[in-house]
Amino acid sequence: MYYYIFEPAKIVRESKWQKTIKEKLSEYQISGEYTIPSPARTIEEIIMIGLSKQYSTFVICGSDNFINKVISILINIYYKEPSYQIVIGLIPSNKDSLIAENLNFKNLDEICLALQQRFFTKFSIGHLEPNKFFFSPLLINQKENEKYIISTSNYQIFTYCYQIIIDSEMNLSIISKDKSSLLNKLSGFFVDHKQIATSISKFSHKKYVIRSEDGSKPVYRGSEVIAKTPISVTRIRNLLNIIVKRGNIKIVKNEKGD
Amino acid sequence: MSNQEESQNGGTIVGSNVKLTGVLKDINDIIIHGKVEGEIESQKSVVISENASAKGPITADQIIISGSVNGSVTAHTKFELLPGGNVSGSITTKDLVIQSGALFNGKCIMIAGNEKNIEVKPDKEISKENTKETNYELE
Repeated sequence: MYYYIFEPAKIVRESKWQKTIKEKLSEYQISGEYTIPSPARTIEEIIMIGLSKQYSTFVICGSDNFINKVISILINIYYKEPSYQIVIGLIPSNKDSLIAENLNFKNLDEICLALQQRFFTKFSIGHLEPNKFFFSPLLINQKENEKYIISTSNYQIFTYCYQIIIDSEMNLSIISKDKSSLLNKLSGFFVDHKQIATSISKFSHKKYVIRSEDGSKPVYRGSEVIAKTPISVTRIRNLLNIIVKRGNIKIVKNEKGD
Repeated sequence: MSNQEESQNGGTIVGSNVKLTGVLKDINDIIIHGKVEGEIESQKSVVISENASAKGPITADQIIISGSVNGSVTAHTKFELLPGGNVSGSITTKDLVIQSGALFNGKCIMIAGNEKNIEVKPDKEISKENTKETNYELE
């Protein structure tokens, strides 16, 4: 049996969508206990109930923000004392979901099939100190280039950029707006993309400290602001068991749903 | 965990709006478009592009330079200095290519197939003009 945590529906369309999901889950014979957080019963309480009932598969259904929020709470409650027995399934509901894109889910049928097969693999999780976690990338986004200093244990980066993206594997992308003239930009656009390519940086490290020189900047997880600079982010390797499509990424273990 | 183990991505790119100081190591390719002050080390290739600059030793399997480098360069397999490229320092490599239009100031040590180092120095007559260090400029 799976333990489903649904995001509370805000509009009628979301309610209908959730109904469709439940019908689909029944169709695939993977229905289980459905829960929805409310002011009377918080996400923490719902997770505690699921753990006390010894569910081993938690399926989170909702927007990327909701999924990240539940994962963050789940890690704070359960994974701090690692037993590594819980498997997490994800049903992203928003169309532009980065999580669905990362997991290569194209439609609800693919998600249900993956849940039914219960193939899972270990995923790293980003840890935003002191107590926040992220599965979908963190984003610092400004309209214009701003000065940032990014430190690691090995090197320090000084940059003028408008966008910084960090995924849960601690791959860091820095994107700057090209300061060259409009004519150069246009010619660069039509002739080649060299100018654009040189303004993108990519790094990979286990921990970053990011400071902005021009005051605090908001840090987004999806559309939600979860912190402001300066921030310290690190990776917790292979923390979560997440259900993926068969043949997608590497398969750590193959277990049939209980 | 070492810095080299961490990189499981497609390599490191230092963009044109970035200045990096410290030790940059990656098991994959490293491409520099900006400025780096410190050691650069890759198990694959290091590319210093046009308008980029690096100050410090560079070690990689293959090194291609079209920007400016100030420091020793060790390319285990191949070293290429492209037109517009500028190296001030020693080069150690098995296979050396310096194209026309590049600038190289320093000494070069060629590693033979049997790993015996062969130091390439200019003839005394040529080096009379350059008393302290060798100056090669190809046009």
